[in-house]
Amino acid sequence: MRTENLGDTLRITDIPTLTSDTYKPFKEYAHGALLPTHKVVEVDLGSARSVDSDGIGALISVHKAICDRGGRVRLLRPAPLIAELFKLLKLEHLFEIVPR
Amino acid sequence: MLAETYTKELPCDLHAVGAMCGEAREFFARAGLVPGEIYAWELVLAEAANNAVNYVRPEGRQLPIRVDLVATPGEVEARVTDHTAGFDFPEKAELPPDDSESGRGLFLMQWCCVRGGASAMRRRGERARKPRRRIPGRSCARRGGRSTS
Repeated sequence: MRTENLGDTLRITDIPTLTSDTYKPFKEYAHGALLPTHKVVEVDLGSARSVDSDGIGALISVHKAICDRGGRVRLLRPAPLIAELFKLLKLEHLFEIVPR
Repeated sequence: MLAETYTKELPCDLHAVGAMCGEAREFFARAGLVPGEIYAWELVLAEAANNAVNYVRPEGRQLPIRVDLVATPGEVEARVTDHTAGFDFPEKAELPPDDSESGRGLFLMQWCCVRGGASAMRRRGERARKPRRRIPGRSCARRGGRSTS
């Protein structure tokens, strides 16, 4: 995983999976990288092969953290099948999804 | 056409679940499933195996979780045998509140199965999950004999 600070935006990239065995490091990494100035967290899912319910839980955790300061989470380039999961789970209103 | 099979005994550890899912993905691809089906099955297995790890009884923690997959023309069967206390799979799994960080696994499993006219079963005592997916006839013809039903 890598992070970039782009003004008020924190971008997290290079996420191979967001699943039961990787969600905890992701969560710690994301929360640890958040600065008081950040208003947007962009999670680049372009290289994510799979996302499961634990991974979605980790994204919700980040959403709650940034939402508390009036910000939002943007999911970049998820595979269509992964993007479909967020609709299925009725979570598309929590996340802005930027398609591939 | 003979059935293709995959069997794996994995340690009761979340890191082993990811590796198993990768192998299962390759198995489903070899069996001729299309990407949407492969993803759905992978998700079913991931959620089932995650539950097997997260809810294992203390005395079962050292025992392996067994995954059996069978793909025949027209049908895929998956069985995950765990060492949890077991539960009856709900008729209709419900979603948790939006801000909940957990509680979506059963819903996802059910959706992935139902999407293809399959069923997910979880029976006390047997400690097994056996979803079946039946594939529409049209797909079957395109994939050389995968039948429906």
